[in-house]
Amino acid sequence: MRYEFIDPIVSSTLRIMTGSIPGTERRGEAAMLRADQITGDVRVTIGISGDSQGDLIITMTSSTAREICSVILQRKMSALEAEALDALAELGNVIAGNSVSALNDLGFDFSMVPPRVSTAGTTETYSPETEVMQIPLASRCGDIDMHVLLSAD
Amino acid sequence: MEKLPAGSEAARFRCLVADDSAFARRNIATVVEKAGGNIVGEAANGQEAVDLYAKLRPDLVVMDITMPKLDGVEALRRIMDHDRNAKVVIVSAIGHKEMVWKAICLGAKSFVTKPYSPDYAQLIIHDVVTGGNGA
Repeated sequence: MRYEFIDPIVSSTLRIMTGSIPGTERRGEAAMLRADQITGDVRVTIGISGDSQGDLIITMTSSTAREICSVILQRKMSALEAEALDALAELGNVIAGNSVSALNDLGFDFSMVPPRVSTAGTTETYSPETEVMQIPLASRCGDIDMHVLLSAD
Repeated sequence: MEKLPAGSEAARFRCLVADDSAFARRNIATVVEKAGGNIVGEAANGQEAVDLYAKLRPDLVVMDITMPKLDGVEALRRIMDHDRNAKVVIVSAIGHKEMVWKAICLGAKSFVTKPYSPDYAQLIIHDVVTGGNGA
């Protein structure tokens, strides 16, 4: 993974999350994981391609997802209905779009595909050697992790 | 042609909104309605946007870029090929310089980057509809 990709993604993620959920901040240091170590009931996955290929994966617990959606949709969510999952997908879209823009403004060439949301019981499969950088965040709705999976070349 | 009173249904502009997110489409609809428009069609991908444009001939299209099936850039190209006078405002999270330039060169009247201030987006939309450049 080229580490110059990380800062624009992290900065964009924090900026968008802070705009949606004020007070969101980093919680601790970034960590390198294996893909099978990614946890979280709810995942928002956005495919990235161009100067590197991979995914941005935002994970959180179901309760955090409900709290975030309650803030975004301005009504209490007792369950993750279709409307809530759509709002989470759009949040992922805005984070990824701003990340791609920040990278491209630095002279890189990236594009993205529409986000997809998965809940407990669905899994993505990655090859074991896939490097994952986990950036942990804390918000008043709960903890959120941004994972950057980008190929080494 | 008789001038209709401001705010009457017939004076409101007709808008097609294209975004794969229903949540995003609702947000745009709120802005469009405050700018004096009515939503006459919703598209969840670029192909639907192209098809609905031909069918509805709206006064304005508000369109995202990242959509399945056909992205907003290609949909914009096809809409402009169909109607050189089409008024399209791009509303997208992908707002880097080259993308904005590409959209404007293809014929978009303006570009609003997500996340956007509803008041700013409303000003842009009103400006484009009334004949400004939305700059």
